[in-house]
Order: sequence, then structure tokens, then C-alpha cells
Amino acid sequence: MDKTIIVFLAAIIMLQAPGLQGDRDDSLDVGIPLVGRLLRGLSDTGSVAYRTPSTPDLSLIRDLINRGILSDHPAAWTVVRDEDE
Amino acid sequence: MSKDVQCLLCPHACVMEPGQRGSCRVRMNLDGELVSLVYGRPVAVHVDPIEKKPLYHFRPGSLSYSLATAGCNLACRFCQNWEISQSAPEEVPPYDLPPEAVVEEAENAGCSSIAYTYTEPIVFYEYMLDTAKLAHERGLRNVMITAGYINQGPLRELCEHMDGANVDLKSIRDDYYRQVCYGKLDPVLDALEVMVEHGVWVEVTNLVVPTLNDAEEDLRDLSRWILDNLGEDVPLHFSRFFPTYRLTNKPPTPVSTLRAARETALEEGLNHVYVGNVVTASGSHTTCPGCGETMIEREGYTVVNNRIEDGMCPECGTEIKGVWLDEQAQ
Repeated sequence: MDKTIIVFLAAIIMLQAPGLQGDRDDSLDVGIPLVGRLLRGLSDTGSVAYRTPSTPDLSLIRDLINRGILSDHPAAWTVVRDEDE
Repeated sequence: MSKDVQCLLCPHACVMEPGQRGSCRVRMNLDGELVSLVYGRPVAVHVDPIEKKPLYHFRPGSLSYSLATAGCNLACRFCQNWEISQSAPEEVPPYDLPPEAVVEEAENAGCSSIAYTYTEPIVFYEYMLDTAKLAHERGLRNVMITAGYINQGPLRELCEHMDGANVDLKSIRDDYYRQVCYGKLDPVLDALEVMVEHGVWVEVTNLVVPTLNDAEEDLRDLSRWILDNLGEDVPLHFSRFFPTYRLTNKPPTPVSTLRAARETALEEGLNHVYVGNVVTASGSHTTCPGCGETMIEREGYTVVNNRIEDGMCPECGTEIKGVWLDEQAQ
């Protein structure tokens, strides 16, 4: 296989590896082409800043709530989504 | 089994599986219920002159008890407060300050208003709303400094308890919002109209960023939109950009650009156009749209002279629109 193609594929794999994509850090330039946006795991509209974080360690969150660092106040303006939606 | 929830507060309309947060970082699906992680947990609390917001026609010379939590629902590359706005709430040490304590401290500090500011107050909606209700009961005013990226239902509810707002209209171009701020323009324009419709005193800020939104045509279109949709008396502040966060490859906005922007907006017919984030006498005073006399003279954030009487120019009797202190109001 041509060396250029191998390097190109390796670059794509690296961009899609966990911890590299979907992060706002220095990843997006104004006017970045659509292909580049998609390769970086970003929305094609640019309207969403970054992907929703993966599920965190909830025991840590509960600990922070219990210590008063975070609150768990009920939020307004929300709907529960049905499973078939 | 816990379910997915969707947040309807802002146009992002984030759908969250249990354990996930919205793009604002501060609203989370906790066991199938959407919760605010920042209620009563501000990370910045200061007593500021109202001019710092900037609000130039809202009780000038008064103090505003100003607070913010972590989080924002936009991600502007030029954010001036990115250390707190672009952080998760557990990354910034918070104060424990429930609404009752906010109002009490505001009164003790001699403030006449509470300002929800610094980051994006929309993301701490419930905290802001409860505090604002309590503040009104105690005779304090409420102002918010916001990007206006909010859905109309929650905004209309909020407007019932909000007296003033400075809305950051970042550009009149949708592609700018999408590429630089990760939002959309239309919801912001809708929010501005809703606020004015509800009688909230509105001022608009536009951060002028070299080469990105400083074209004369853009500034003219922005000014004309304000004139046509909000009115000639809505103050417009052109604010100076300084390189920061993820936009460090641009120089600070030349003062000459700000002056030119002001001239453009005045040409379009706006009555009150200011220049901010820069020390200059030109563009910081309030003048009478009738006779051109200086009504409010400012040095930085300090009001050094205010000649408005009964909400009017003492020279020609023209009404100066705004929310004035009791001794200046009609």
C-alpha cells in the first residue's frame, strides 16, 4: 500500500481515538471544511459545541452533591423522553 | 429504569441519557430527572457599578450585586470569562449562597439591583428566577447580562421578574454564530424582541473582533436591525476585543474601528451608541437626542455628572429613555 495512504489512514484513526475527538480544545478553526469537522467528531452544523460527555462516575457526582460542591436542584423546562422516541 | 430527558431551556435542546449533562455542563440527567448542579452555588460574586455590565441607562451610578455560576450554553472562541464559563461546576470552587442570602447581602452592600452576569445566567435559570422573585419582594431590581440564547417559553417566564438586560448580539450573521460561538442567530433576535415586548429595559453589546465581524456592512446591518425591531432608543455598546481563550491570533480592536462603528450606528439612526472596554471620553457620555447636550458624563465606570431631570433633558425637554433613579425619573 502506498505510504501516503497509510499515513492518511493513521491520521484518521488517531483523530477518532477516544480522548481526541469531540473535545473543544483547539480543534476547530473558523471556516473549517465539513470533512474536517466530521473527521473531528463535531457537528456538521457547528451549532453544538461538543458531544455530550460520556456517562461519568455517578458515585463521584453524588459525593460532590453530598459535600455541597454541586446541587441537585430540580430543573425546569424539561421532558422525559419515551423509549420509542 | 431511568429514562432519557430533554432540556427545553435553550435552543440546543440537549437529550441526555442518565448520567449525562447538557452542553452547558451544569444541567444533568440524574436518575431520570433533570437537575441543576449549580443552584445556590455561584463561583463569582462582586459588587459592581451598574455601568460595568454595561447598562448606561439603568439607574446610572448605582451598585449592582453581581453573581455567576460556572457554565455557558455557548462556546465563543473569544470568551472573556472562559475560566468559569467554559468549566464544569466541580472544577471551580463555589460559594454556598442560596437566594435568600443573595438578597440579604445585596441589601447590606447598598445595591439597588442584582445582576446575573459574568458567565451565562440562562444556564442557572432556576437559581436566577428564584432569586429575582425574592429580590422584587424586597424592592430590589433585577438585571441580566446574557447572550440571549434561550427558548421563548422560559424567557417569557423570566421576563416577568427581570427589569433590565444587556444582550450580547455577537453579530448579525448566522454563520458567525455557528462558526465562532457554536450557536445560531435567530433565537437571539427572537429573545431580544420578546424582552422588549415584555417591557424589559434592553441594551445591546456587540464585541467587535478584527476581521471577523467588523465589516462596515455587518455593523450597519446590525444597527439597522436594532432600529427596525427594537427602536431608536435602545442603547448599543461597541465593545473592544482583546485576544484571549481560543482567539489569540487577532489583535485588540483598534480604537479607530470602534469609533467608526459608532459613527455608522449613529448614521443609521440609533440615538445612543457607546464605545466600551476602552478608556476614551468619546463615546462614553449620554447625549440628548434632541439638542445634543451631554446628559450623563462618565469617567470609566464612574458617573461624574448626571443632568437628567424627570427623565428629560433640562435644556430642550426631550425624553431620555431609560430606567432612572427615583430623583431622575418622571
